[in-house]
Amino acid sequence: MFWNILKRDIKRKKTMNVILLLFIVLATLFVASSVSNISGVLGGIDHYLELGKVGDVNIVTLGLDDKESIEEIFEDKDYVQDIRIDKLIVLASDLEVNGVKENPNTPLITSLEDSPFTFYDINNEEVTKVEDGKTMITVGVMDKYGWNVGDTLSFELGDTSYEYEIVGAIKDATFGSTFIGNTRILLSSSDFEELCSNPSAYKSFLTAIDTTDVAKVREDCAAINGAQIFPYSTIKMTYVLDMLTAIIMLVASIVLIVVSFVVLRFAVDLSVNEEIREIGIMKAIGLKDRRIRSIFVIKYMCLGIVGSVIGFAASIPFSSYLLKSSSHNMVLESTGGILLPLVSTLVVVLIITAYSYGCTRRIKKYAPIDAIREGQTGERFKKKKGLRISKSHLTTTGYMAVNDFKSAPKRYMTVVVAFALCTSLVLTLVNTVTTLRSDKLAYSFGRTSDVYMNITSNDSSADLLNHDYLAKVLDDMKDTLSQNGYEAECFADGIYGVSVNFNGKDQSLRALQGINTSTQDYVYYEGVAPASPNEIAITEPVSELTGIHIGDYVDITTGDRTDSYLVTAYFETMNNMGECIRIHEDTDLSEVTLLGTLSMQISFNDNPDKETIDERIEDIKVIFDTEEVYNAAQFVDLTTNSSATIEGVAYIFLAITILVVILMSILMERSFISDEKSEIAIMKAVGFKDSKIVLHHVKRFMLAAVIAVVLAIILSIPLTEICITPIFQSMGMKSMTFEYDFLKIGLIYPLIVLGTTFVTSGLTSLYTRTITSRDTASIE
Amino acid sequence: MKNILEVKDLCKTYIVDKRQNNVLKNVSFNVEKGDMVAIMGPSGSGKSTLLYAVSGIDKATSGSVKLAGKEINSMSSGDMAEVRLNDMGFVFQQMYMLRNLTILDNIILPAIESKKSNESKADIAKRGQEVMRKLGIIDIADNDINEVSGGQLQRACIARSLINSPEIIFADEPTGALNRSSSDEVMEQFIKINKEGTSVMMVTHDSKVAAKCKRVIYIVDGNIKGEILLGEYSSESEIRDRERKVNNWLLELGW
Repeated sequence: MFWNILKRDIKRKKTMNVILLLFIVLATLFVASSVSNISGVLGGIDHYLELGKVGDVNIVTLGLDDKESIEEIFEDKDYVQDIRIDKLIVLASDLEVNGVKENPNTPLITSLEDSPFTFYDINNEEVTKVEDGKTMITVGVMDKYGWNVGDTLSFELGDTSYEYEIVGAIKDATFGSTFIGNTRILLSSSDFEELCSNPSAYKSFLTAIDTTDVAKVREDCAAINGAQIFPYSTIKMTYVLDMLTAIIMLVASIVLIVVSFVVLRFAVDLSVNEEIREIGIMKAIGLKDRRIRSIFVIKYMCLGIVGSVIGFAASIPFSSYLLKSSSHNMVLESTGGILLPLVSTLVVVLIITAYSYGCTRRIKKYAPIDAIREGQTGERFKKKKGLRISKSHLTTTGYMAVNDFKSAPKRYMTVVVAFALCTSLVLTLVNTVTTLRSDKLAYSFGRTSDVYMNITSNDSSADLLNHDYLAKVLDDMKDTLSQNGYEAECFADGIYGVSVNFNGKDQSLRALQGINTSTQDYVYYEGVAPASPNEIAITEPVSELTGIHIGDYVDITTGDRTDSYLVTAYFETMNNMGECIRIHEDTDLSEVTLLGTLSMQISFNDNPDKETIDERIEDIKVIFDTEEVYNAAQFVDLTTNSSATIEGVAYIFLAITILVVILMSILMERSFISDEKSEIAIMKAVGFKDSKIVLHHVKRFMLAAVIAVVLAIILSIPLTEICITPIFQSMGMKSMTFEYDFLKIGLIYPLIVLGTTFVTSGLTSLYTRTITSRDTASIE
Repeated sequence: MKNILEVKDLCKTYIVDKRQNNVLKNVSFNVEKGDMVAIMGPSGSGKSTLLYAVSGIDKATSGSVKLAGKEINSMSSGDMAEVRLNDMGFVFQQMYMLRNLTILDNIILPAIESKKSNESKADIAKRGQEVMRKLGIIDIADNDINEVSGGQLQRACIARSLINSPEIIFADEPTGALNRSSSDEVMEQFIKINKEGTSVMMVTHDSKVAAKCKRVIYIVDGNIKGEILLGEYSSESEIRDRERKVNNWLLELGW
């Protein structure tokens, strides 16, 4: 009997069952593939960093000529298990590929044969040889600039020009993540030696240390002048952006499961309503509640099993595609096999079965007579409150739509909840992209300015890494601008490696000092700006790492000098994942080697508006013969290097939202039509035209969609702040101020959702034309 | 008197399992303005089909149906909807109303949708209340449709059919789902409406209901087998005689 009921149900409610099945397929597909992907990426990052021989502590030292001084520090330490030192040449000049000049992030030249680190090609094969005259470059950089195998890379070092043929892309575990995005250039040993012999070559070392005590090694690093420390955890964290797609897909699958449940609840409710008479008959002939409920549960379990099997099968190629897209910068293999996706698929089936059992609970409440009366409980002589057509200013169809919504809000809330949930997630991602492409975050990379430009000097790398020399370059910039009619301040944030001692413990930290600018020009969220040369500001991550707070005195070693400094303020920065201190501009660091600067900055004296700045940027490009001149928003976008990825994910979410809107609109509208067949026939019998009935149905959906979209817009703002702030906090921010593009979140994206609803519900409601006034004769 | 409905050679054929089922076979009759006609016949004789075909609820296979001089069989669905809205009223055996609207809103909905008059919604509501008052159901104006009795609901359906002052009201066994006292109440309303000038054509099984009409048409197997003119009645005491007369006539025709 059950099989017959099931067969009849599948035949009668074909559309609803197919759509429900689709939701289950999608939910399983997303859950299984994203679980597999996340487990692959999470486990895979460690595996990849191990393959790439990344140390527990990784140290970059600039300007050293020999590695013995580093080895000496660590050689007798019992907590140091292994030490690997790679000699690098840091290039400050532009790279030229096929005649086009580019200035990618910190080019580091390495000899493959001499390097203790392992690099992989795009097929995840270990790179073992680079021939003379050839080079291999980090895959992310190759992609970013559109460089291809066979292109010619050239650069200048002093007066000498060098040329190499690009023979492949490499994956670099230490510096190849999207967030760091450094440019590793692999050369043959003899080519590298040739470069080293050039007196303009700026040499440095990358040291990887395997240790049982990270904290002690970090303390030891304080002895290395100008060391930049990258603990394993920091390098792993920099892959957060590479995991973003996987994480967001998991969120998408959770949303889809929630939507599937909402749809399931609606479908079960509708089924129970339609079968109420049968339920009454079954009860009247003595069938137990559990037996009746099992008919419904078996149906949804069957749908769950079929949908999950299809979803699981589809998840295998889909997860390998996702893993491939996540592992562009990494060597990843699926670590969990099919076990994890299989378990998650079974969980989906179990949840759907349990949930459908819960949804059928109200069958228990029915007595046979209630069911036979089709849920009507007799006459109730009370007045209906609320809307009246005679007092409404709406059109007839508009009034009926609003009245339907008001009379049965629960059934429309299904649409509202599902649409609002999906849309708010899209808007949250849009808000994140907007913020990353705005100047809102410019202060987190130093003093905000009108223009940011890369150093385009032909001076040697070593010269540019000197405070006084850089100050002179900035002064020259200011003069050049003045000669061209622009009065402006030119400044930069110098980055130094310093050793900080507090409570007897040393810590090697990154220090920032404004060149041609003052500490007063920066933003602090607590305390007062350092006002004298022996005052500093720190970040919260530094406070957590060292235990230093405002009011503490710390000893800081800069070069050969050690002085006492008072901590006066907290500031926030995304530089070095927040592990930075800010030193007063009058503190003498002229003898300390600069590790670099983020950018040369220009701030016009006449406070021009954004349009004027953009116009001036075009002039500046000509004046300094460089294309790499940006406004604050472009600078933030370039530095965070993640808006395109998040935007891509936002588009995926938008596609999912559109799919949900389409499927739900079809499912709900078809259900409503089937439920309201008699009403449609009556409306036609009393003289309503087809078009009016279609309009009535479309307006109901549009009303639900408008409520959903308004809710989504309102929700997206706190949702952005709650969900996205922690990501930025993990990168060093204390708090976040988001930028909202109300044209996008208030108009463009809502219009896409509303347009989809309008078209889908409009097309589906055309089905009402098949119902005629004649059907009043066949109403049961 | 002028004909409000002219039916000529009306045929209705259904194809079921490739077999032709001729439900109406060349039916011809007229309904004069102000007439009150009962259609009677055994189950399956085609009386409801006839009512649906002449009222435009269903399309006839062939033949002509003129309502107030307009041929409805050749009308587009949009024009037909206009006719249903403005020129006729329909009362079903089941008391079909839109469940999310109050009784009053259900009644005035066709008037608001109609462009027949330029009344404001408030005036239409007043008119609706007036019709309800006439039919004795003003107390349930703001009730839900599941909060009233069957008789009240059927009177509400009659009120809805009257709201656009139609030329003719079609009723498909309007008392079929009602008890005797409710049935009498509903028939009283039809007679009242008819006396005010609206033509009424109804299908019924009940000879007591038919006895209150001015004319009875008997239909068997899709053909009109006969008709009887009863005329108006002046007092309730005549009903019993008229009912007896109808019953005898039906017996003669093989009922």
